Amino acid sequence: MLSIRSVDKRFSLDGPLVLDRINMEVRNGEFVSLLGPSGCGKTTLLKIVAGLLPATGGEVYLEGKESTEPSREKAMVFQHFNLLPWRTAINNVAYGLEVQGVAKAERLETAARFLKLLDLEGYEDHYPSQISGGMKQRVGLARALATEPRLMLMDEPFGALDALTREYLQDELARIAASQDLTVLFVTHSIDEAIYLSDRIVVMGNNPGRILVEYPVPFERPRTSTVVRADPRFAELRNQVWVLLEEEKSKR
Amino acid sequence: MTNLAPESGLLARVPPRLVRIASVVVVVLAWEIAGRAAPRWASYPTEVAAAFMDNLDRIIDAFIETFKAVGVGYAISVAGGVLIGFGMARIRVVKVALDPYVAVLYSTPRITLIPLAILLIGIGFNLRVLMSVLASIFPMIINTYAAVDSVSAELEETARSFTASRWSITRTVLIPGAIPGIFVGMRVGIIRALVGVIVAEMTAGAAGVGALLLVFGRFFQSEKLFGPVLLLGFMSILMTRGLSLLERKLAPWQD
Repeated sequence: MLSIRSVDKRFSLDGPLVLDRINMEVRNGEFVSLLGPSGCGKTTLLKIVAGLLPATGGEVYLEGKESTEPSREKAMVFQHFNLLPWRTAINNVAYGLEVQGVAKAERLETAARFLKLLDLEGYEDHYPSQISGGMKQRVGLARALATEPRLMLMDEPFGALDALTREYLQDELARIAASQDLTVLFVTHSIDEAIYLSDRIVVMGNNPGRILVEYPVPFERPRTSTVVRADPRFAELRNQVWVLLEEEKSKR
Repeated sequence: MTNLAPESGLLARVPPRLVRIASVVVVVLAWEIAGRAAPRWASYPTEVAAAFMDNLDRIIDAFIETFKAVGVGYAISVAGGVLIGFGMARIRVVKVALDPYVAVLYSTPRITLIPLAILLIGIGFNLRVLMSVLASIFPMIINTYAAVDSVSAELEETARSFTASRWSITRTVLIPGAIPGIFVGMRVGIIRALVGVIVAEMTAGAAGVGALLLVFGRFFQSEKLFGPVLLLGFMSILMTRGLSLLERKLAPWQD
């Protein structure tokens, strides 16, 4: 469904290569994590897929069609939430639908439904400054989900949250991804998070940003984090990835 | 006010409101006594109040005249300043082209332009409007520019990721994001607009509160001077308060 074909990226004509021939696929209903050290270009790759940045070379295909601009098929969740401070929770969730021309009554109804899905009932009229970080990201998630995209792009969505909130939201995302049958490309630098959430982990390396290896995650979804974390295969996979990233670090 | 060191004892227990009223009463009383003792040197409150009531018609006419010019000038400044500020923040050519004028005009004492303005447009209503625009449009331009420029690029990117067009980014991100900054300019601008009109009236005579004050001053009528001045101060407070209320209405997400 998503196909990234030999994508290169330089930020200027004679600048360094930031992404070097990235090839990867995400199938329908699949949850894929892009894992790598900071500076490896995983966010840049995500923004290219989102259509927020142009690729220097290569193409991105979505459902067989080249995709170079933001479109209704894609929706993004940001590390720093990026809620509009002047909109209440419900109007933030309705934002994507609003710019896509959905009528007011319909978009508010949809927004209310997704607020409910994320346990935000009762907070419809709160401004972002009045709710906690975890709740802000729930609003961010609801805003992306409300446009009912084919592909969810998530840029370290839990990176700015405290550890406990982060785990709550991971569980929440796991539940929603399974129930809504989402297709997700998920950027993270947490190995645990990647293993717990994904079907497949794409590990990236630095200088230039490139794909090192892909790991399938050997657990069926839906899963529960306690079961996954207690499984010996979790520790094994975690260790494998960790060793790889350490090696990559020492190369520089 | 809240940063004052904590005091102990009896004085600390007096409510601030009472202190404020007491302060005004003491000063007014002292002024009354001093003024009665040396009537040629300065007027005193009861005389000021009487003179104000005696001249109420003239004063009201002058205020209407002045505030008509303030209203027109301020409206031009707000509309023009917001448009120019937006243009400069979003369109490179506009910024590069207008930068020198804004910099030079903003740093020139605007009062020095009055003689030239009189030559060009005379001393009527238009002069007062022009001076009020010149006084108030630059804070509008500069604050709007800064406000639009500081709207986070990440929010723009977010809007873009949801397929927002250029116009819908302006409508849903830039305009609401700039409102608090625009209000900063509006609060500074309203006072400037008033000062600009008064200055024009005082230098070019003719009409309005500025001219009235000059007349009273020339005839050594200090008792008549105080009333309109106090009323101007009161109006200024009222206008800035009004703007703050309007801002709270239009931008309720703040605080």
